[in-house]
Amino acid sequence: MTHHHKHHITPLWVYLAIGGALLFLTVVTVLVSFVNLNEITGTHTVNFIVAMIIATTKATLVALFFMHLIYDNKFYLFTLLAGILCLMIFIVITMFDTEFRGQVNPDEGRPIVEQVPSDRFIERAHHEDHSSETHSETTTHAE
Amino acid sequence: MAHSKYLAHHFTDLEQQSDSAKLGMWLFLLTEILLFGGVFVAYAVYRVWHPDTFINAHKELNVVLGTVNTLVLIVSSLTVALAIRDMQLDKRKSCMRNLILTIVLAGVFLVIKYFEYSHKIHLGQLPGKFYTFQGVEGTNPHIFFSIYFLLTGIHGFHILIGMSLLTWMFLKVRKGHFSSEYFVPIEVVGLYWHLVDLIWIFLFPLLYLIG
Repeated sequence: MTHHHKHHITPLWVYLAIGGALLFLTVVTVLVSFVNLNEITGTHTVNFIVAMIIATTKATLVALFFMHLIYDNKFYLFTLLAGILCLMIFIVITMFDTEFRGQVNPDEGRPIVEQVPSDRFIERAHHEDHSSETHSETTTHAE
Repeated sequence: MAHSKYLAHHFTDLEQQSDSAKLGMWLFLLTEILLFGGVFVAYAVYRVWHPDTFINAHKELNVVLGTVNTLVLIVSSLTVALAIRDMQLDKRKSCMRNLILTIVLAGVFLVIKYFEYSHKIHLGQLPGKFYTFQGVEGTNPHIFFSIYFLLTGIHGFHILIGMSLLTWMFLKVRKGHFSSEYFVPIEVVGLYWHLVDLIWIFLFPLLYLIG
């Protein structure tokens, strides 16, 4: 148990510094997004990773200082981390399924990946089957 | 031991009372993370399935408006944190000013969101079967806009709720319900508001700044 009876009062400059850092990081993430890091590094994910690192840094600053997690009872921090852990499990296990189900059973992987052509989708495909002959060839029905 | 007028009879002291309130709020925020998490998972799955669509479709979003809204939300997060600090120091007037500022900034956010939405509705960049826009190359572009409207819609709804809660807090501060001894309701509303900001910190790069 904690024995302090006074609430922690964060100094004004800490709030202003954190606010300034958040505004600065926002500008940085916008500017970096205009640089094609993927092309420079020859990968597909560098821009995304950089954007997520900056977002996570901003989120950490908000949680620790604005939400007082750095000063408060650590059980609140534990609660937040438990939520994030659940979210990570949710994302990772779902992605294992959607990305690799085709490797376990090739037939099940197919119908979801192969969707209807770009500017069409199922309802409209039905409609155009009746109205025009030219489009009926290009539309495939997703299961 | 003198009893505080703020202390409910089933708590030992004010500290235990406010700790319980905050724990309750954090548990609620945990469920909020999972609520948004569902749509984030949908985003991840569909982005991997339709990478070109996501790259092309995100160019339809206005980065300037998105950036301004991010800055607006961050400043509103700062003002609500300052409002709580004011209450800790018994600066009631300053606390009211900061709460009003937060509510106004939330309003600015929603007005900008309104312009973004009406532009998209006008162009037919709508979710699912309502999608009529023709300008996005790639498979199933309507999925991007389904996720865009789901994420920003749920988030905008949270902004509305947050504004109502902040207004309620403002009225209570004005009536003199809080002091440096007891202000946990503002603190808890502040936590909610910071979470809305946290969610946006991730929404913004995921939707507006896809590389």
